[in-house]
Amino acid sequence: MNGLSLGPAGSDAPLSGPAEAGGGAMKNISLARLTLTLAAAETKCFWRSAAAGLSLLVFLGFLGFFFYNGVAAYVFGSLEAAAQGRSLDASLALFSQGLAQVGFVLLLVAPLATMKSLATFKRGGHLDFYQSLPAPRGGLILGAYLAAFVNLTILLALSLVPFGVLLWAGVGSWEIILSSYLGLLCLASSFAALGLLASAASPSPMGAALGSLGLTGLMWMLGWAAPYMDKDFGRLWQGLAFAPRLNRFVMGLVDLNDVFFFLALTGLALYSAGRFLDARAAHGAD
Amino acid sequence: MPGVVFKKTSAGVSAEFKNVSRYFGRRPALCEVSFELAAGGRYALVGPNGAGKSTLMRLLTGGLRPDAGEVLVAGAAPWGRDPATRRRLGFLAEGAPLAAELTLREHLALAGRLRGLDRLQTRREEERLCAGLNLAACLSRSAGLLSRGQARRAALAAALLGRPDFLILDEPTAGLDPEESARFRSLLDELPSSVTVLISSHILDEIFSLTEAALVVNAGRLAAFGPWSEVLPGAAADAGAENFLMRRYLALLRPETAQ
Repeated sequence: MNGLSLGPAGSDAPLSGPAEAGGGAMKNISLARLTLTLAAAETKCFWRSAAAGLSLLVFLGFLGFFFYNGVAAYVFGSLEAAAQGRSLDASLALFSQGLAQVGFVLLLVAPLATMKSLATFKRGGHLDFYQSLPAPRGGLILGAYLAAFVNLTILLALSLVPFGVLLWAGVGSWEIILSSYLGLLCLASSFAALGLLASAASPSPMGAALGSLGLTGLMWMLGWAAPYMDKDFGRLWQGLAFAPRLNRFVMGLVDLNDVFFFLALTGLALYSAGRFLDARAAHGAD
Repeated sequence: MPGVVFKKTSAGVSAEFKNVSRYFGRRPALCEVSFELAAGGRYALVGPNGAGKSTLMRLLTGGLRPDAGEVLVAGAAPWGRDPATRRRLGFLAEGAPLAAELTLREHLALAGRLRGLDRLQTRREEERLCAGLNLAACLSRSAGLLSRGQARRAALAAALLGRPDFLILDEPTAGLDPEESARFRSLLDELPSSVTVLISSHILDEIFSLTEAALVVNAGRLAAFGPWSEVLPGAAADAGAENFLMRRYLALLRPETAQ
C-alpha cells in the first residue's frame, strides 16, 4: 500500500519489536513516577472537565454565602455586644465558625473531585490499559488519590482569600489560620481517599459521587447522634466523627491524635480501594 | 481442548495457558483452557460474543487472575508484583480507552512516560506512529473530539508505543473504514517477525489473512487451536471466500448443525 510507510521519511524502522529504540524500549517505572505521572494527567483532566466548573461554582457559591452570613452576624453581634458594653471575639465568631463551614462546603464538592477517576478507569478499557503497564499496581490508586487531593487543595487555597483579607484588615490570627488549614488538609485527604473508595466500588461516576457523599456525610454527622446513644457507643461514634475533630483544629488546637486519625482513615480507605480493584481482577464482574 | 500446542520457533515473547479456569461469580467464563502461543506467532482469537475472548485477553495482560490453572507470559505470571513481564506487552482494549479531556499528543506523552520512555524516545515514537496511522492532523485535538475511527487508531498508537514484543489487540479494526483497516493490515505486515500478535476479531476473512493460526473459543472452552489449515480445513484454498469461512466456522462452533 502506498503512503503507509510506518517509519520516518527514509527509515525502515518498524513500529514495534526490537529496534534502535530498544525492543521494548519500555522500562519498568517506579511507583513514584507512576503516581506523579498519573496524578498530573488526572489533575489536568479534572480541570478541563465540567466537574471542575461545577465544583468551583458550588464551592465558591456556598463559601460566599456562609462568609457573608458570618460577617453579617458578626457585625450585628458586635453592635449588640457594644450596646451592652461587651466585645465579640472576632477569631471565634468569624474565623473558627467560618473555617468549620469551609470543611462542610468541602464535603459537598469532594465527590465531584473523585467521582470520575477510578469509576471511569473501569469503563472504556482504561483500567485494562493501566493494568497492562509495566508499573506497580499501587501507583494507580496513589496517582488518583494525589490528583483528588491536589484538586481539593486548590479549592481550599481559594478559600484563603476572604480570611486573608480579614487578616490583612487586622482581624483574627495566623495561628488559627495555620491550625485550621492543617485540619482542612487532613479532612481533604480523608475525603479524597473515601471518594476513591466509593469510586473503586461503584460501576458508574454517579454512583461513585453518591457513595462518596454518603460515606463522608455519615462520618461528618456521626457525632450528632452520639449524645443519644449508649455511653460506650456514643464515645466510639464521637471518636469516628469528622466534625468534632475539625472543630478542635479551627479553635487553634492541634492534637496529633486528630492528625493520626485522618491519616489512618486515608490509608485504610486507599487500601480498601486497592482491594476493590484487586477483587475486580480476582473475582469481579467482566 | 487441553494440551494443544502450536509451536513456532522465534525469539520474542511466548505465552502459555495451563488448564486455566476463570469464573465470574458462579458463571464460568473460561474452563480448563490450555494452549501455548509461540514467540513470533500471529494468532487469531475468534468466537461468538460472550465466549470468553475478552477474559482470555485480560488474563494475558494481567488484568484478571485465573481461579485455577496457570497463565505464563514470557515464563512469568503477568499479574505478579514484578512488572517485567508487562513491560513487553502492548494491549489495545475493547473500545477506546482515552480520556476525553486530553489531546492525542498528551495521551502519547502519558503512555510514553508510563512505559518508561524518555522524552526524546516518546517524541520519535509519536512521529512514527502518527505518520503510520495517519494521526498527525489530530495530535492537538482532544480525544473527546476524535471520530470513532480516529479514537481507535489513537488507542492503537498508545498500545504500540514503546515497541512491545507481544501485541494483544481486541477488535482492532472495529469502527475503522476500509482505508483505515487497510492501513492497520499494512502496519501488522511491517511488524518485525519476532513480535507475537494475538488479535480478537469477528471479521473472519480479515483475521484469516492477517494471522497464521487461530484459537477458537466457544462457551468458555477452547473449541479449536492450531494453524488455520487445521482449524478450518480447506480454508486456504478458498481464502477470501467469506461464506466458506463462515460456514466452516459455524460448523466448528455448532457441530450438530454441520452438514
